[in-house]
Amino acid sequence: MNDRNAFQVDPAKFEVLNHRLLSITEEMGIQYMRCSGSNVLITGNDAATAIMNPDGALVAVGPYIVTQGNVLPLIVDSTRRLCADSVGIGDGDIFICNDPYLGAIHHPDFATVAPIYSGAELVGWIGASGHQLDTGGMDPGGFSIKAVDVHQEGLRMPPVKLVEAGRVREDVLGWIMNQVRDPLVGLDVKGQIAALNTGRLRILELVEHWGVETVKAVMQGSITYAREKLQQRLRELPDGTWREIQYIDHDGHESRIYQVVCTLRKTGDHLSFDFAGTSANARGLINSTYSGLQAAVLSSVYINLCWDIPWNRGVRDCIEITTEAGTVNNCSYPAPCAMATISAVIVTIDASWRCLSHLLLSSEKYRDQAMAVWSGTSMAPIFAGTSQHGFPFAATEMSHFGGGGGARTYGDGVDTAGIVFNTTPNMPNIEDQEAEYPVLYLFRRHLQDSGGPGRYRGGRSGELAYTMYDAPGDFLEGLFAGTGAEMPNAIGLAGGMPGAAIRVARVVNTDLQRRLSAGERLPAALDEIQGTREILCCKHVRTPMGLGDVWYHSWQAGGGYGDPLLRDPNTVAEDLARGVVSVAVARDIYGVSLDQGLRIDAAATQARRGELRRERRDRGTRPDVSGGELSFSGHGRHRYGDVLMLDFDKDVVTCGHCGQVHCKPGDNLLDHLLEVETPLWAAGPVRGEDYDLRRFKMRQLCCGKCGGLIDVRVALEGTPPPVMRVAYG
Amino acid sequence: MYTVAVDIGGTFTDVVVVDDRNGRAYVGKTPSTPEDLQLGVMSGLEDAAQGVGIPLSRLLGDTDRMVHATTQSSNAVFAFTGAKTAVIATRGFGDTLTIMRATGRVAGLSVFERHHYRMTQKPRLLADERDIFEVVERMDYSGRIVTPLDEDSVRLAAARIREGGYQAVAVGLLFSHKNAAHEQRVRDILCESLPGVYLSISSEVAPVLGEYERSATTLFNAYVGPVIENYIRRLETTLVDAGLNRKFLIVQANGGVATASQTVPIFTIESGPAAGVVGAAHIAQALGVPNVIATDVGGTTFKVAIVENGRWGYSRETVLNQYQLRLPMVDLASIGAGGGSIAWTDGGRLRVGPQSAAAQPGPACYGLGGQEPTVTDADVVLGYIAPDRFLGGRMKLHPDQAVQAIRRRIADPLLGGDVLAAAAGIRQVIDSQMADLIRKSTLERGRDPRDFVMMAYGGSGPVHAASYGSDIGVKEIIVPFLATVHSAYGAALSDIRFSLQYSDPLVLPVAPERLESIYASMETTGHRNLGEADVPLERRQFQRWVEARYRRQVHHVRVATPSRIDAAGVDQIARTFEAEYERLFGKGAGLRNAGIELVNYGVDAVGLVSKVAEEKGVPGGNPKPSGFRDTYCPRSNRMVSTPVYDGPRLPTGTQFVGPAVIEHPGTTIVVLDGQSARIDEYRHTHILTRAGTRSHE
Repeated sequence: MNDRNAFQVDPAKFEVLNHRLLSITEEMGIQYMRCSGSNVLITGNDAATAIMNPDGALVAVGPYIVTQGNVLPLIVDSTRRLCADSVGIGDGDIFICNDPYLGAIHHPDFATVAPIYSGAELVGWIGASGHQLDTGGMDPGGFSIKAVDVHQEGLRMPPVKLVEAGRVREDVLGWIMNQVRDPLVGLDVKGQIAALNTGRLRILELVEHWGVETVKAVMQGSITYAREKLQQRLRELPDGTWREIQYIDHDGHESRIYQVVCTLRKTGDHLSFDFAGTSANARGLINSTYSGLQAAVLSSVYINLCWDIPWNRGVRDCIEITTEAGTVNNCSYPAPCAMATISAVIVTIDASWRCLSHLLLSSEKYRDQAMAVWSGTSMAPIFAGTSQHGFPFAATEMSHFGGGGGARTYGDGVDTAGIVFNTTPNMPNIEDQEAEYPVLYLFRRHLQDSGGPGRYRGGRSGELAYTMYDAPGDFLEGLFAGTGAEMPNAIGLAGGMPGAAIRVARVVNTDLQRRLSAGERLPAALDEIQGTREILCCKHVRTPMGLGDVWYHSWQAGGGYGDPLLRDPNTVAEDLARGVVSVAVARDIYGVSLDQGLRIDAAATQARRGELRRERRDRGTRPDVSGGELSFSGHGRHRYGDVLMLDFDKDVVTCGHCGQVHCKPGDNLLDHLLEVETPLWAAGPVRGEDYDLRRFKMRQLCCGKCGGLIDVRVALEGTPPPVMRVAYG
Repeated sequence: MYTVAVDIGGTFTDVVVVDDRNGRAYVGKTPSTPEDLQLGVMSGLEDAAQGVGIPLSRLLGDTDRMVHATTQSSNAVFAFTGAKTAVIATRGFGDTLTIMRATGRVAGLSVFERHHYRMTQKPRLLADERDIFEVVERMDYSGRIVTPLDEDSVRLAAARIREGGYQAVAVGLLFSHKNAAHEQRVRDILCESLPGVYLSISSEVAPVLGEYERSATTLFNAYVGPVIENYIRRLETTLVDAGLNRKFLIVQANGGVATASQTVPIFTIESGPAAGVVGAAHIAQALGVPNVIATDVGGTTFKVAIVENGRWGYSRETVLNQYQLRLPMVDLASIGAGGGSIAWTDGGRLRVGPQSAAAQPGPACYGLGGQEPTVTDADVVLGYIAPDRFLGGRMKLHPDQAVQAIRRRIADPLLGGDVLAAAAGIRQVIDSQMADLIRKSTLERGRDPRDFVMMAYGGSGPVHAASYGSDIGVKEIIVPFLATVHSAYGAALSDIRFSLQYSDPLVLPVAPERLESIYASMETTGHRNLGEADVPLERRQFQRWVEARYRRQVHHVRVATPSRIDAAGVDQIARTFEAEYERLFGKGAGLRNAGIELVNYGVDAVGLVSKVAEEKGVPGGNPKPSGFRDTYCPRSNRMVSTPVYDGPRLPTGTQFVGPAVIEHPGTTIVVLDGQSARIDEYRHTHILTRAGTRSHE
């Protein structure tokens, strides 16, 4: 890596051009968003821009939605495959595509790509992608809960020539506009054209100034740099195998559970993700195509291993993905997939994320990079109708963009941190919402006890409630598309517990109308609202809201790190004083005893914690090991998180908490631990209790001597125990 | 007789004294004293008085205008030394300032920082749940009262605030910008029950739509309020004791000044850089140059502002410690790039910044133990900075240490030991980063940088401008004669300026009377403020603006509005908006049939200061260089013998071609091969780039 011609370009020139390429992706994004002006795009940053090699290999992506940038190479691939010999690909052409089976993640993400020629030579491709407010289909807003195939989800374009030799094809634009309900889509498409025009111009300027060979060498060099740097990092990490299982509840039609099984094998400088065992296609909109699967894996790898490595093709080069078509995260035509991003994709991120966290935890050098899973799902709470200003609208309530962050090995997760696939999260102001839409919020706040308990707590999520207000004709409709109500998806690490699941409710027959007309104080918590509370399905079809009804939802928080009984009691007391945790959770999960003035009783706390550990030992049983394995090979001395000490010289695995010798490294550690099975809500409230169908349990692996937690999982009945085989070189 | 301006920077406190009789400027410079800023102010003034040749008491006694830009508020914010602050919020929404719209985790961070998820987190909170008290009340979007204020809930909060020993309270209630009645009542109750506690009210500090930004602005104002008030009072007393007998003026983030008693504490944040932009606008106007890119390169930060037709823009949002604020602030973009930026290697790549060496031990060439090669080290190796002239000769540099650091860290691992190539590479990389920021800033405003003249100041601006300026393709670069004290110079020229704001979303067409009354009411406030600042009627000017958008689209565009709004005026607003929208975002980017919505309104109430024309230099024949030294020539890729000129002695009208270096106390102006330089009548240096030379041919 130290030779001076690593990139065939002198280092300063490489740096100047590389920075320029990154700036160009950003300039393209600016140009795109300026023209579009769409709220989802700008407030949610739900867009992407990219520069690619002549073969479509990703060189640079703009700082927007992580997952979207990854699909642009697939769109280039489809375009080259389908258009080269039909309509032809020429200088000044732009192609548009949103087909999930040809590269897009889901219909709402329209993508455009354009080749860049210098004379007759193809320099590379550029692309832009963005989430559209509507794509036609059964329901406005892009999420058709009852769709059973992709055709019901609206407009689906294979690569179509939108601009020919620099001239916009108004016939194509008109055809697109005919298929969608919202005229903003037209501006969005024009914004993408503007972005590509800017990108093309800027790259041609570079070519003119530096020469086509240099520009191409830098593009390739940026990929080489990323690949070599990731390979170097992977070589520093131990080899091994990790298996994780994640779940999607409800497919829009019935309350079925779908599982995503991810097996990570890390060998040398190579990562392999195998999804064998993943459930078959769902009937409803929760599926994702291969595009979404690949984007999910890449997002996990980017965030967990490439914080200082460019997010480009070089990373993909180190990864192999094994998957079977016809599964929930690699669905077959014509399975619907409108909700892909916020179900199969994000859940695939969660599963691969936790595999990678374990990989990091096993390395002394990189353990501090490990994080518990962030807010495990996302959602689309949509309200639609006519605003107080007379405008028809279908709006997504974006507050759930404040999901909780996963805990770190040395500190709490960030409260209302964001959703992992968005580098720049953004929740709306209440005032902006109410000024625009006919709703009145009763409250929006952090959700108490939502952060996954742990030595370091997961970040909190939030909760909110609103009622219809000033709606013309007192008419407003609500629709809800979410995942992760029956079980949380933000799993903890090293004994940390899961964060809160989602919960959707409405309260009908309230006294709100009377209170509003009398100017009386309004309820400011779900429990304060008088009326009949109904827990709603996490895939709730469009229904009218009644006058005075209150709609409520809360979203997922981050997973915790480490045994909650190891949390500093003073920090628990501070959490209590801030209202982050309740007295019950402080007592029952953190084992902290407090006196009347909320001061810590040190002796009682110690006793209480001892009692809880004893309880685990008493209740724990030998885990079912069929198909499960925890084992280690290699030499030297190592630490796995804080929970296991490995000493190959002495040939022992010991408990990181109490020093108890569990077994030999080569033994199946599962045979030497205890497993405590509890309901999910033993990790705190809003862990699926309102949706319980007795299918999920929380399984806590602990030391048989001290009761210290080693790993806490959320498991569907009948799913096998964990797999982790680590080989220290 | 004199205008005196004092600007406190991170390293130095700068003083500029202008003799209003002849426009002659005197300069004072002294190290800043962060432990008590006032000490640096007084020694800087002493330094300047010596330059004028009179005692300080006489200088102050003869001072008509005393203007001050301070970092006191920044210091309080970044060192967390502000007041213990409580917050009062609407019941159900007390978490607004801890949720921070989720963006608080990454606000103000670069793309690269945002990619490192694990390292990102929300900032240290100025007020957490224990400091935030909810009161029962609710307004709706139109300012109608949904739930009347429950005064008992306010008194309860007040009691707890008193028990908690808070020094300041920020009040931020929902929709208070539409109807301030509840906030005013809360203020009255707090005033009674919490004497001596500093109160900051959102409908007064930032009366704009968006509860998070409004509350955050109010919170920061409360947090720095007691500190700033105390600081200004102390300094004013000291200055009056030392002989000052005029009102003391404080520079604001909007590029204007206000009297000490009218200063909203948080508005003093980043006022030094704002004054620099005022100075750039003034110089440009005097030279008849309408459009300028103002660039400021310091030790750690590169800042860019755009001035068009003598006016600077205001930023829609200000990020402080990752909180997002709304204040009337000069729009400045910045990145971590400056003389102290550190060069490093990364898998075969040559990287520069964003880390930078602090003043201690500083760049390797300071000889204070710094091991990391910096941009300044590269400039020394390349011969642009003379080791014996740094900071006007105050600090002796060690070129051997610079060479050693660059060799060890960059040249050996990457370039086969070629130190010159390494130094040139470091400079090329940092200059291209600055150029990329300028491109981005101009693009965001719908402009092409090639249509602008560039101005460069700050300690390192003149050293680098020739490179990053030609990179972006400007034809002409101006380095002000007082480039190293440019912010103080700008402060001396700042008008009195109150930036008043109001939010009231209205969809066109709107009755002209309604708009007129919004502006008239702000102008009434403006008149009152200007009156309090002793501005005579004939020197008052009101600049109206509106921020509008196409409904359903989020981009807000700010346009000037007529000084009197009738039916034709409303039409004019719509036309101006549409034209500006199209200019910024492209033809057809607006969803016209959705309608135009006016959202925010503002009036800048300006008290014009009479500005004496700058003293002109003495014309003369082309002088001889004071010597020669080797500097790096990027075109020929080697060191070449280069004439060195003594800047302060250069007569006006001087012209020569590059390569050349012009030494000023505190900075060096680099003119590259292929460029030419000219000294204008005010002694500013103009560099014509090759693009400029071409267009002149």
